[in-house]
Amino acid sequence: MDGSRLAADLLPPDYRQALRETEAEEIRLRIGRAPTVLLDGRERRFHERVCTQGDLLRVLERASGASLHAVAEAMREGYLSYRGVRIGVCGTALARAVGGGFGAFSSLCLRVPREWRGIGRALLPALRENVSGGSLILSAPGGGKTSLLREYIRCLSEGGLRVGVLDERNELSATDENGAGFDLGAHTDTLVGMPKAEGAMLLLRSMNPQLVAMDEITSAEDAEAVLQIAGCGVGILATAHTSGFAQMRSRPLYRRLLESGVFTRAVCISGTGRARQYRLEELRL
Amino acid sequence: MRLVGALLAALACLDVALLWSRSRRERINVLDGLIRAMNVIEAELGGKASPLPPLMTKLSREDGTIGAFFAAVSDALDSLGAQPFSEIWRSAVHAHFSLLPEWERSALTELGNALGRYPLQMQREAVALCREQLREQLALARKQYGEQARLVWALALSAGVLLGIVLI
Repeated sequence: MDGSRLAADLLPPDYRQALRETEAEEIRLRIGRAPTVLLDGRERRFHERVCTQGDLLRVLERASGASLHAVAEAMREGYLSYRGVRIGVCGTALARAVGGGFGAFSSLCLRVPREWRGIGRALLPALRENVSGGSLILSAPGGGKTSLLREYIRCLSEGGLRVGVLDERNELSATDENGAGFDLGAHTDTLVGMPKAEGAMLLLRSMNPQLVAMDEITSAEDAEAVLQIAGCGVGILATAHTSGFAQMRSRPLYRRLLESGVFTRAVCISGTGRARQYRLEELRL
Repeated sequence: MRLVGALLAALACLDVALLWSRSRRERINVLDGLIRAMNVIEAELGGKASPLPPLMTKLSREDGTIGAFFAAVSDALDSLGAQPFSEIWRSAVHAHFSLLPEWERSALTELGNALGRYPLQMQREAVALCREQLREQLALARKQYGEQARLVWALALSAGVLLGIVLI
């Protein structure tokens, strides 16, 4: 699946034609500013025409199928997903009392999904060795966690492991009416669009996975899903927004998971673009 | 030959009445169909917050002009991004509802500016407003048709007979 083309398809025609950079990690649109791409940690302009409110609305309209009301829940969290492309939204927020979401938009961040085969391969044997012990993938936002998680799911599945994927925002698999856009392996079952807590038990009961994978543990409900899965003796592979173990320990949500002993090791990502590095850390409180 | 000519002239007068009657009834049917479609849209938005693409596809299965309108909107949704939904909707309104007067088409176009864009409650209010406007026009159209139909047919018949007599 060509993530760059998917993201470019959302853009106004003149921006789409000007976008030649196929290795961009993000495309950023800000009202009153020229559009930029994020490459190797730096933003670069790719068109001289400044963005308008109309440009942002067109992108959101295309991504939501002219149905912003149908993605209102995701919008209240500050983003929506389009076939694997995460579109971060910034603007003037409306109060929750009147339904939340945004009254006006000021900028968008289109995160280009990628299939990076072979990344983090050196650490794969360690993950395979002890599947029932939980593994986390850690980095700051935009650090490449989802891409690495996707590759690990594929490799572990191709190695014969039955993997169940909780793909709440359809960013791991980019599933549409034609099936999964990304290859997650021959022995993978993917549950798309269901909250993790609800989906965890469904997946365990119905698909008998040996490993459950999920992106972004960010809430108490997500942590509860993790504990449910671990309680059934099934391995877990998940990601978390944190730059390392030390930072994890200081956050109550992750501290609870660490204390439960669910996760025994972490793959920490550092660097940007093709210079990213992956190291394994044993997790002990 | 004169008799044939007189008959043709009489039939032409009746044909004018027929065309008038057909256009009025078609407008009434279109307004009626649009009101039913508004009911479906309001129910789908209210009950399930349905996305517009499957809703347009569902309504495209309606008969006649209504189905053709929603089919045109549905087919054009692939070009979202190149043009906004409001423009897709507006083009379809003008292409399929030319028999409606300008202000009725404007009411429909206004609805297209709101659909899929604003919070759900505002969209439902826009649908309800459009439906009420169309309902008022439908009631007026039916009343006028009832009042004018007999007159038009009577005039057409009289003109036909008169023309026939003159020609014979």
